[in-house]
Amino acid sequence: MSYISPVQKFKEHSLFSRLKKKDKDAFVQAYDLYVDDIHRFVYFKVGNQEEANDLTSIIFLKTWDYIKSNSLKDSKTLRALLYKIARTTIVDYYRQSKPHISLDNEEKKIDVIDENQDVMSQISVNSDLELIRKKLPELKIEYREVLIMRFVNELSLEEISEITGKTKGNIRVLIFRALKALRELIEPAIN
Amino acid sequence: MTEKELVAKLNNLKNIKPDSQWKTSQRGILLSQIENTGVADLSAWQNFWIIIKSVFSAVPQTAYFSFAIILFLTGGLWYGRNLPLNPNSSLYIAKSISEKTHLNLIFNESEKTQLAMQYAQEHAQEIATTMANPKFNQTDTSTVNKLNASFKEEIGKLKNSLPKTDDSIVVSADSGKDANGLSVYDPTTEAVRQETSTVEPVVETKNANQILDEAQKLFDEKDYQGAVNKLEEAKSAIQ
Repeated sequence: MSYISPVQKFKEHSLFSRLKKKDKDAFVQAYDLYVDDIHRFVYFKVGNQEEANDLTSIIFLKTWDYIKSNSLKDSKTLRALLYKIARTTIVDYYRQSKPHISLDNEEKKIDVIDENQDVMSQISVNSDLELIRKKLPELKIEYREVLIMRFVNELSLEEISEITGKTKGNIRVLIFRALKALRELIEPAIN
Repeated sequence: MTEKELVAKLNNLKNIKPDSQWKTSQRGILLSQIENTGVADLSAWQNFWIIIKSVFSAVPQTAYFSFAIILFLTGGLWYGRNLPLNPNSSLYIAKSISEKTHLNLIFNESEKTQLAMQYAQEHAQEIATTMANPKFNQTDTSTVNKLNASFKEEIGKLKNSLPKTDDSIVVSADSGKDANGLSVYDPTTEAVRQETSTVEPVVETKNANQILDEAQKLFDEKDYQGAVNKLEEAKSAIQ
């Protein structure tokens, strides 16, 4: 599931090392590499396209500020650092008590499907998306979060553990419960 | 719906991506915002060092592990023959394999034979030394029997490796005989023959054979120390 090829590992390590030296080009490359994942993560947490856009921009800026003023010794990977900042940014966003628009808002249709996909896969994505769009917000936020990180953005258990500050065992249990909860929500809809 | 199907559905959500126009414009904004932060570019040396470190971190641990195993096996094959192991040791097989590998890597036939002789002689000597230990000799009967057989085998190998002596008379131009087979004394040729004579090695070969026979006899009579001494004698005779 979350297999990282040696080439990707090399790329990530090299980027992170360059970022430790506050390299601007490396940060732009990191943006290209992770913007989709971070945007998706934010989108599934806040449920709104525009706010996901704004928050993603803020997250990357905050990350650069953090990189400038820190040695990055407390983070193992760049991905983990981005998700940590994303989480705190989203928490701040909720604290500011902005009107929360959930994923099941009928008027706010998701229009972010990649245009390069073929028609069949778009249909498949649409149906899956439709179902999960309705059901995902009904899940507890921590369930939703681990499902997105593990199965959508394909993070390893180690990375999720580092991001959330929970043990790997706890993450496993959380994933198991989250899958069970989601299945219980989806199955009646399918039937 | 199985868990696998559910995971596949969730995985499908990976296709959700932000609008590419937004991404491009956002990239430009980000670049302009970080451009004037006054951070110096990396030097070529720093970049090189990062690449080296990243290569090492990217290589999977299994690759390091496999490399370590290969290194261990190669080292074992090459240096295993120098290990001070007894023939009753379970690792003795590693030593034998190492010796065989080393022999197979030698392409000069005479060198190969010489080395094979040396190994056989060493084996015989090791067996005799092990057998000389009464503690071992009286307890482990099955190993003792095996070592007895091995000793005979090694002595046989040694004997086979020794140069063959030919008893038939060969008449050559330099034989010191005339056409009728009668000895002709010529002081000049006699002096040359004495200098270049090959009689000496034949005598040594015979000696080595005899010594080996004696060593075998002593071994059979359970005089292991005597056999060890004889093998030492054979060694110097062969040399």
